[in-house]
Amino acid sequence: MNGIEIVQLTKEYKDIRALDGVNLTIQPGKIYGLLGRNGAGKSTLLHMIANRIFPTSGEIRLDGESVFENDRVQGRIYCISEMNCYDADDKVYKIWNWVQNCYPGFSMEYANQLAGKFELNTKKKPRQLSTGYNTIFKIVTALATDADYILLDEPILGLDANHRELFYKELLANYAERPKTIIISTHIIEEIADLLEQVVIIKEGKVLLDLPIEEVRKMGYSVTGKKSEVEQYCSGRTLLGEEELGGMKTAYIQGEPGEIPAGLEAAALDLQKLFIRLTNS
Amino acid sequence: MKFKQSFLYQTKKMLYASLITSGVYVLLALLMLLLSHILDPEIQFNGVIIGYLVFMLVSGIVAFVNNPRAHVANGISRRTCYLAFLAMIPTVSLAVILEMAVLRLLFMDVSTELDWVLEFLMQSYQTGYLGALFLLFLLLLTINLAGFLIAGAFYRLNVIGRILLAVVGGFVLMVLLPLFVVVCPDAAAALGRFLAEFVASYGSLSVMLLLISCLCGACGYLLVRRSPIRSVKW
Repeated sequence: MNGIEIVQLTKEYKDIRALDGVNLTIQPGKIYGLLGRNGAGKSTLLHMIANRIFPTSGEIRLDGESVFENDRVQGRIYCISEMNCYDADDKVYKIWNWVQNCYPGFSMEYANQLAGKFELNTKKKPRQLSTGYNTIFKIVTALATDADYILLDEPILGLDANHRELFYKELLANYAERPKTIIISTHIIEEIADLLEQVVIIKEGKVLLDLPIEEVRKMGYSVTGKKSEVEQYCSGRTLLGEEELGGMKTAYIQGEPGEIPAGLEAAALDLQKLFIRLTNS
Repeated sequence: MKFKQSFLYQTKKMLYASLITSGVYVLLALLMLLLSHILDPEIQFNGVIIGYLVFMLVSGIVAFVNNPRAHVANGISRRTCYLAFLAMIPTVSLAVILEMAVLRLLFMDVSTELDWVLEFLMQSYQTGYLGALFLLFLLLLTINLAGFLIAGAFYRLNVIGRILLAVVGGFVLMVLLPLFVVVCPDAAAALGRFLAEFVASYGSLSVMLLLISCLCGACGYLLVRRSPIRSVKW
């Protein structure tokens, strides 16, 4: 199994280069976090993997076969995004019938079970649902397809904290039941950080980082203590960022902590802080 | 290839829409029947075939936008979707012909003008009822594919292109063509005679409709094969 190989992928829109020669391998059976600032090219990349748009140049292959206009390959991929793809006049359960026809692994029982947990009314048309419930409809559909590759572009858009919590729980349960590749693209980084196995950060159409989460976390740490002591400790070290509150200071430092002087507290760097530092211009 | 799934999905949707259209016509025919009793016995319900032709045109237009989106979302390529669409059109056209025939059976006694297009075809081409139905079948096929092509052209063009296409198309039809007839009547008459050759006989009209269908079908595929999927507002 090769997974998804992305080779020299470029996408241009008039004078904008959304993706610029991206090379990336998505390994099978892993949960990926696809991170990037607005307009970085995340959605463009996911939409190309899902055959929704075509690249200006480059190739995407799944287990050696091109993903473009390939029914066999696309039958192993399911993508959700802000894009509404189904007939606005169909009810949720009718759309699921259509999805089931195309994805033999789709479990109507599981979909209904999830709909019950999320309190999704399957007799409504998607256009009658709120933004949050539209997202729920999409994530339930995606999880129930049992596709080998599930692409989730902003899967928590409009979800309240309770539903987000439930989604993370169900996503992990689904993955535990049958491991698959799940790519999550979101701006709410800290919430998904614990789900991820691999992190890909895209900046201005290029892959900036592609590492396992453990290695990403080792890229930096935070130190908290009295302002003067923290400043003294930081001298000569590469600072990723800093925060002050009263006389206390927290510094985010690149590298591994080593020995920490007494009076200072070290902690693992959170993914969001690293992301902000890496993606700031 | 998920041809079967796509064919069944598209056919089911179109048949459902055509049955609703027929249902509306039945209601309209009944309403006219009622009005003819109350107001004027001359009131008649007609234009059913024109209505079905408009239905097929609109269906073709909608198909370009809706079909690839709902298929690509389910891992079905544009090519498979389009092939299934090509297989669906004759199937649905046949169903529409049958629905027309049933409407005729139901209302021919009370509404003599119900299918004047059919009468026109029968008289003009000296053909029987079945022969006229076959011509209508080809007409439905052609108009659906033409609708698909028109929608495809507008979908793929940018805003300026769309405006230009609409303006130029409108200008040619509304200004240039009438002007040509007025300014060059001989040339216009010659052109008219030349075009009339294509519809002069039953056979030539059938062949012409088939050729136009093939042309629209081929151009439609060129437009749909690399068309980007766009979101729809729910």
